Amino acid sequence: MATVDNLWLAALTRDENDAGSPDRFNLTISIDGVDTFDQDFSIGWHATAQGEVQGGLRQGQAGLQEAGPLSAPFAVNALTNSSVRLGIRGDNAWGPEHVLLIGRTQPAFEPGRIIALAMETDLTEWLSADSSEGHLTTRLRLVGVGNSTTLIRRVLLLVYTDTGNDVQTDNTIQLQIGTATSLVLNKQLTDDFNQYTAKWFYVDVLGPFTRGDLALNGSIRLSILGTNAWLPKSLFLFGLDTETGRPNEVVCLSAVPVWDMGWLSADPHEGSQSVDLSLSA
Amino acid sequence: MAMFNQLALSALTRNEEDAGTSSTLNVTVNVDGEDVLDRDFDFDLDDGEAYIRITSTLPTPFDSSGLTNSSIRVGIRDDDAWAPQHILLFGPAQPDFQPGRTIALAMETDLSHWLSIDPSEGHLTMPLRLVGPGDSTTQIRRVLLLVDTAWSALGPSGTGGNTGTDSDIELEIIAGGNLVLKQQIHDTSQPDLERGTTNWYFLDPAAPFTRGEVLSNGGIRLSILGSDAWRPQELFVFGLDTATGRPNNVVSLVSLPIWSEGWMSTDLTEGKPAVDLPVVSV
Repeated sequence: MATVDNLWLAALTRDENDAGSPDRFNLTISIDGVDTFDQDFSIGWHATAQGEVQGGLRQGQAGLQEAGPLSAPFAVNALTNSSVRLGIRGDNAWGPEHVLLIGRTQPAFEPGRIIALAMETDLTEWLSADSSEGHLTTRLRLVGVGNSTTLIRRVLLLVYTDTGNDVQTDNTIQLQIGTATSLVLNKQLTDDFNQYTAKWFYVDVLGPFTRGDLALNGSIRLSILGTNAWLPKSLFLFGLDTETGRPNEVVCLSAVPVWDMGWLSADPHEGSQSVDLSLSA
Repeated sequence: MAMFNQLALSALTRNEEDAGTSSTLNVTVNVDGEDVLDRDFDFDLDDGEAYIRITSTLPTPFDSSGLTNSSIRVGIRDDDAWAPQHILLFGPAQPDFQPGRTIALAMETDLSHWLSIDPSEGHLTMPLRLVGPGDSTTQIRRVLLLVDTAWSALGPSGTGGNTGTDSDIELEIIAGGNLVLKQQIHDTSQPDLERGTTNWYFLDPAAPFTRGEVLSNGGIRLSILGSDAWRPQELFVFGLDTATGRPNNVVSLVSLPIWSEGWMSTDLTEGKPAVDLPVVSV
């Protein structure tokens, strides 16, 4: 029985007028009628050099935030589809498109690992404390963690760039996933990887594959295609069992909650052009 | 299994400073990941005041058999924090093979939570755990009287009357031929029986009893003990299976979402001094 001891909340705001919000989000996890987790997330917020706090999720913007070690770890198998709810603590309505709740299981007889707990996609609802603007809360239904034989038909890359001296980049990055015999994903992603921002990329695969395929001499490679060095803070890579719509199974392929692989740059003086990401257990 | 096509939210606000609120409350009911109810309740309560509101007919009735203890939550939509003491969610279940009946769905008691959208003041939402409806053999160790006094009504003389009363009222329950409860309600910390207000009274029977004993050889009588006429609007009596704390089963004893007995008064020209309340039989 897996016990979760940390959480990350990831979300992508819809790219439509007024979908962004600076309000805090509230996540509750109820097990048999008792809230084992009730915490606010200030996604997209950050302190400026002047000590001011600013941010929030803008229209079309993604966010990723760690809850921190849980005071009350909980058993995954105690959750139901009614357990997890996301709410908003203000009246600046938010239009989420996709939401993913990620958990870290406690190490027991095996190393702790990252798993997807709950996910909603292609949402059309609004959240707001103002009843004329939206729901106060919405449910996040559970997803399965899949296994080594789950067929992966789409990949979700979540990456967060924190703050620091020139950590951001506007270079294209490239994600490649290969099995021992073929390249199953090869995608260049062009965007501004700015400070304090998360990116949510759905990437289509060239052909379905499994995590088991990758365990047999496969590889996951992240590259940067320019010399504007980049230092990500966190990265999560998941395989989804559906090509479109809400997945039933979300397989963790690689997770680097705290990036420890140095700078990425095509300039060898500044960093590595490519890194091979470890396959999750 | 029961199908609900209406729900009633009742609550008692704690009697402490700033516990009241004028914020709108929000109730969600989720069945296996789908919100079958997401409804707001307008709220304007002072410290120590009680509340009851019945929804209009729900667009989609829901089946209570799909509910879990994590299905029902109460939230707040403003930053005027609210401190509930007790909350009860109940509803008239749709007739299936039986006549319509009122069933308690979820209840929390003796709460210490605050609710507010302001994170420095309270939780945004809180769970309401399920309670069982009990049956005719459930041992009842405490009684909950919920009564709403009408905002307005034609007085006994045919003109507008003051619906509230300063007279005491009394609830009497006989079960199995024995008087198990006879309690006057007199000057509590709530605004008792005032016009347009709701009251939430826990009453302690002298001995445990069952609904079956009330039905077979007993009854429930509500009396008024003075001549200041009173006009209830809604009245519910529930039996709880615990003497203190949160109940496991809440048995519906009387369900009068529409009071049809007119005015009550010891002055017979103004109303009835006592009413034998119809006891729920299913």
